[in-house]
Amino acid sequence: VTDAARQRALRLAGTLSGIAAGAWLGAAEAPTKLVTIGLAPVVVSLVMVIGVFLGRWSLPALLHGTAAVREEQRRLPHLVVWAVLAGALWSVANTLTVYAIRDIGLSIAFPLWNANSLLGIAWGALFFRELRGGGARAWGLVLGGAAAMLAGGTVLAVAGAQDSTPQDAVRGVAAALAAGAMWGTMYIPYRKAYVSGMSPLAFVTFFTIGEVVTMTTLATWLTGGVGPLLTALDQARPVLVFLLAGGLVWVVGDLFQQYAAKYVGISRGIPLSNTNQLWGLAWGTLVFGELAGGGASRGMVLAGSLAMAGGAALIALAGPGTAEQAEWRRAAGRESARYGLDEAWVQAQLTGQGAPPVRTRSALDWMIALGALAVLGWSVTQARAPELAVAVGPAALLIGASLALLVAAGGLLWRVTRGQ
Amino acid sequence: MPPERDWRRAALTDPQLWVPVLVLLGGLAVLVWVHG
Repeated sequence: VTDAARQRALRLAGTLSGIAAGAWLGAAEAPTKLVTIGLAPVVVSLVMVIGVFLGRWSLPALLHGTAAVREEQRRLPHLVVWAVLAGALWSVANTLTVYAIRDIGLSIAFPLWNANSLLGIAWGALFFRELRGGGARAWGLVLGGAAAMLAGGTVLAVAGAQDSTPQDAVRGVAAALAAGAMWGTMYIPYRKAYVSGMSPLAFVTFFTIGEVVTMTTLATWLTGGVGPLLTALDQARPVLVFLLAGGLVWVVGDLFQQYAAKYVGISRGIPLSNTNQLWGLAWGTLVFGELAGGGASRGMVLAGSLAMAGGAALIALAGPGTAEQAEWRRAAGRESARYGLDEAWVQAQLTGQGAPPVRTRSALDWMIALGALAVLGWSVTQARAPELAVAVGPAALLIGASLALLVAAGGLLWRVTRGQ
Repeated sequence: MPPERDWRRAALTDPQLWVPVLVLLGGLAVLVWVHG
């Protein structure tokens, strides 16, 4: 295989990963819609994050277990800090969105925080030399695509929102902007991990630790202490399984987002995975019968969806060329020099050609995986069937499409990089 | 092969650390404020 052919395959794998990330991050909303009892949003977030954590430590524990994670931590100790930081950023941003929606409504809040993709593009260019050397074509396609997606996403948010009157505009805008700044900045750690040669599964491990610790702290504070939080979790028992399932689906989406950040960079990876809004909307309208409004809102949904899909297509066409790849290698060289990493090793990791990670399964790995599965199994026994009409046909179609993307993106990643 | 340089010192002078840290602190401050 020639170098150019390999680069093309990596580009395709990264782009497909971004598209698959959108499908799975969007599908993660579906199980939470089955929760019809009133729960504090922060409790919903906490249980989903616990699901993400359990998802990481169930089956992947046997693929990339404690030995491989320890090995990466020994080799790249500094990246543990960044991964935990990214998890903390995600949790605080996610909590802020709850306040933004409360104070200004989804239709105003959404475009404010979804501008995170533009911030991500800026960080990518500034810190990791993304889009440099790509010329006007790459800049035009990526910025034009991201702008089209932002506009489409805004139209979708306006069409779907059932807003109450804004309560506190200043606070709501501040919360939404802060959430966007945090989500856009969260991708600095993502990209930093990959220009230093870390593997996505190891990064996600430390990320989920930062996420679960921050979210537990926030939930304890916001519900008024350990006692009230435990009471709230106990009340949530019949629906735990749906929220945990949402977390399990989310972690698949996030893993694809990691591969997209690795192989096409954050400037393309973030906007591509922001198509999750489209998938979330499809689940809401087709499966759960939301948006029963008139023709005007249907027209808006169609226009917004087309703008979003068109923007994503532009970005998919803007794959990094040879000159930009050279700039990426320079960014990786900076990391190697600063942190004393073996440059040849980093470059091999960056193109998915490194030595395969340690694949030993210790007793500890089996115990962790069985423990995670036991918690998930227990939540099933506690579940009560939701009283909600679900359109089975469209659900099967969306599940089928998501699985097809999983197989296509996952299969290509495996063939080209062995999952590195 | 472990990194040869002291990564803590390298990290402390890395702007790619301080940008996310400051954004996190700023976001936490906004959260405290909006929570009231």
